[in-house]
Amino acid sequence: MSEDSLMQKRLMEERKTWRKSHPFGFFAKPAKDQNGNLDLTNWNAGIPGKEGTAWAGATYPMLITFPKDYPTKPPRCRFDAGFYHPNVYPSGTVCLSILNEEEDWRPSITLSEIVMGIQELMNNPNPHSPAQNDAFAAFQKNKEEYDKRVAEQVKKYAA
Amino acid sequence: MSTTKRHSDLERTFGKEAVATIASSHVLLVGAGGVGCEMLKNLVLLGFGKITVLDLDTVDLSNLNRQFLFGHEHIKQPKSVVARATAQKFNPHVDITSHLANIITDPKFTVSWYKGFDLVYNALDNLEARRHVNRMCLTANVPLVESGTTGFLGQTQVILAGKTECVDCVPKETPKSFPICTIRSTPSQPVHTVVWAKSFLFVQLFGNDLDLGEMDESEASKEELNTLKKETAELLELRDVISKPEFGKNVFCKIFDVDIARQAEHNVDNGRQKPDPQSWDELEKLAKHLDGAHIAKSRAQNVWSREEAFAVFLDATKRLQTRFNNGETLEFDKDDEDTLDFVVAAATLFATVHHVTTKSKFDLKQIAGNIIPAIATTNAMIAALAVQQGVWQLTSPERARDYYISRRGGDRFFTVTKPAPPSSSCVTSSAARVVVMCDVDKTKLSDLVEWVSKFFPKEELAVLSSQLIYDVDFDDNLERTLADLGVKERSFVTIMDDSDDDIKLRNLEIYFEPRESAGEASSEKISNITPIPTVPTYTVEKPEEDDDDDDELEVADTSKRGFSEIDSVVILDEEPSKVVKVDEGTDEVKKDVQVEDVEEVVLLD
Ligand SMILES: [Zn+2]
Repeated sequence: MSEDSLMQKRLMEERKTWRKSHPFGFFAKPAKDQNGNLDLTNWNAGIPGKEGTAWAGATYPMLITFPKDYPTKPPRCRFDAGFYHPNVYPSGTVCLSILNEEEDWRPSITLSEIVMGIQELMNNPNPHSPAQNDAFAAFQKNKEEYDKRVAEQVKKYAA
Repeated sequence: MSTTKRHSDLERTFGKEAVATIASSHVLLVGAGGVGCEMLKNLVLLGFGKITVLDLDTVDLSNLNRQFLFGHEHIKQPKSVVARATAQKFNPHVDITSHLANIITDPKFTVSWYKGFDLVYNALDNLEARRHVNRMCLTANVPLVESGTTGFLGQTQVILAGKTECVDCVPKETPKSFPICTIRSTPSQPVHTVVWAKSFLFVQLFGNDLDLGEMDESEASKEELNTLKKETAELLELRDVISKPEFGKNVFCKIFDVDIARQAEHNVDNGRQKPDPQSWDELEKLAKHLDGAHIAKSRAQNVWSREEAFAVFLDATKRLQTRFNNGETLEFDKDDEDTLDFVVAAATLFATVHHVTTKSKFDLKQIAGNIIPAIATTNAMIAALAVQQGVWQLTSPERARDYYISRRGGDRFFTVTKPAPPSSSCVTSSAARVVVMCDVDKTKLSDLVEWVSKFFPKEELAVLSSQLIYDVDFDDNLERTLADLGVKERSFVTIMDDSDDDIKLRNLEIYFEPRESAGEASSEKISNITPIPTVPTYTVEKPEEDDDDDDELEVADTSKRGFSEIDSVVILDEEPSKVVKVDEGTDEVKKDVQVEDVEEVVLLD
């Protein structure tokens, strides 16, 4: 499909760049489709919690989906549904300015920058764009509960 | 005018030889809409020997003001068939074939089929089909005349493989989808409030199904919208009282008071003004003497105050409520006043809440309906210019030009340029192409890689369809057949240079022509029908290494990578395939190319 060619070219570049070097502890690779080919528009990734933060000790699985008009439009990054974080929708989708076309997304932002941006967001939630009630309310008003839930989540993904 | 008289006039205008060439030419016209109808008329009157016209649509009432080959009696009939029948009457000597078909998906339209035409005219209304025809014409090496209009803007260009810009050379605007974060809590433009009212609120209250227009342009938005749907399940509960008189009040209080108050409370100081909840009691008092139905009708050109919007909101809600309770399925339609009034009033109130400037019903209607009016005059001019360029292409190709029509600011009305060369950053233009015949059921991926390496001499190469089939890091499938890997006849496979070399090969696109249309069978597993191309090379510009590994996101200047940011415009009719920028009254059309004079224009008819 010709409309995909720019997207494919860029994703092949991202794949190669990632293969050559990527941030330590992270992984990212295109998912297999039913024909056994690699689907460049869907990547399985893992974001390790940053050392020295409450999120350390686990790698959080994430699905990164690239739209047809990537890199004009940003990819969607999704943790498992129900992921506990103030800026993650109940569906698991991350609400982050660099992933928002109307805010800070730029076509030059790389996959490494995205996953590191998400790692950074984990311990530094943005109080201005709440995406779920649960974690947001606790983060604002009940730090104890918040920390407890984060720790539980670390345990869940530690395996 | 008699046919003979017309013939001699044509000979005087174009010359005997040119008229003979026209009469022996077979052209394809893709699209019989606003521009297509005009083109077909021109082609027929010029005496093109054979014309094939294709359209997948049927005639609709709303077409009749500008698609002159159709009349009232043709509504619901195939455009291609009616256009052929009407145009045939203008000139019985022309052989017209019509297809009611989809140019992209119909298996008849292979590269070999395109090769049967001397020239292809695009008169399409969507980018996907434009790009498809562009690629097929580049592969078949058939000249393409591309054209489109948007309101007063119009454009036509000649596309020749390897010689001129193609449809993909200039980045296209894609309709904007709106991230749910923006729409719900940080709207900043009238369009955000309209999308909210139309694609979210209206659908939630009266819709059948979460068919979310602008908000599901990308999967991302749909996904997030589903979430939003969950979060606002309370809204759906309101439907329980849709048969009761208090429905309007309940909706208002939830949407514009309770939800907003909650949001205002959560919104910590983020530099934005806090949203203003609207009090039912206060507005009811203010709007006591207002007649919503009357305001909706008589003040369409004015921006409504919040109490006016309040009155219309309640009135329109009541109207929709009645229709809903009568079992009607409600869908937003800009020409359905009840739905429009509801959306305009809700958008105005939402704008008030979020301190967004708002617009009149008239203006919001344009936004809600994504309307840029199609203008018959622009269509007719572009169709005439396009057909003219096709004639030059067939008779004296050096005379073919690109044309732009604009009607804004102090710019010239016509801009005429020599066709620009292909953009070096265009993946489509820069690719080499070959058409092959191949038994995809028997040929293995390894056979293809081996065959390709003869003229694509790279160790590190990647094979892609819409998926990645093979690269150095993914050789699992080498012994499987192409068919097994999803490679079908009538499809393309792209070979990409995946090496780290400073000088790299451009992409190679391989088209698999169906065996039945490719002619005699060959003993080779893969045999080329078109000559083996020389794959061009390019020098890779190494980006400056950023060796410091901090977490700061560095956002580079996007213009360096060849992407341009374009304002979003959603277009109803055939849009220009090349973006003519329309911001701040400066319609700059390719300043850097040589602009010739307007005297050159020869108008037909
Ligand atoms: Zn191009």
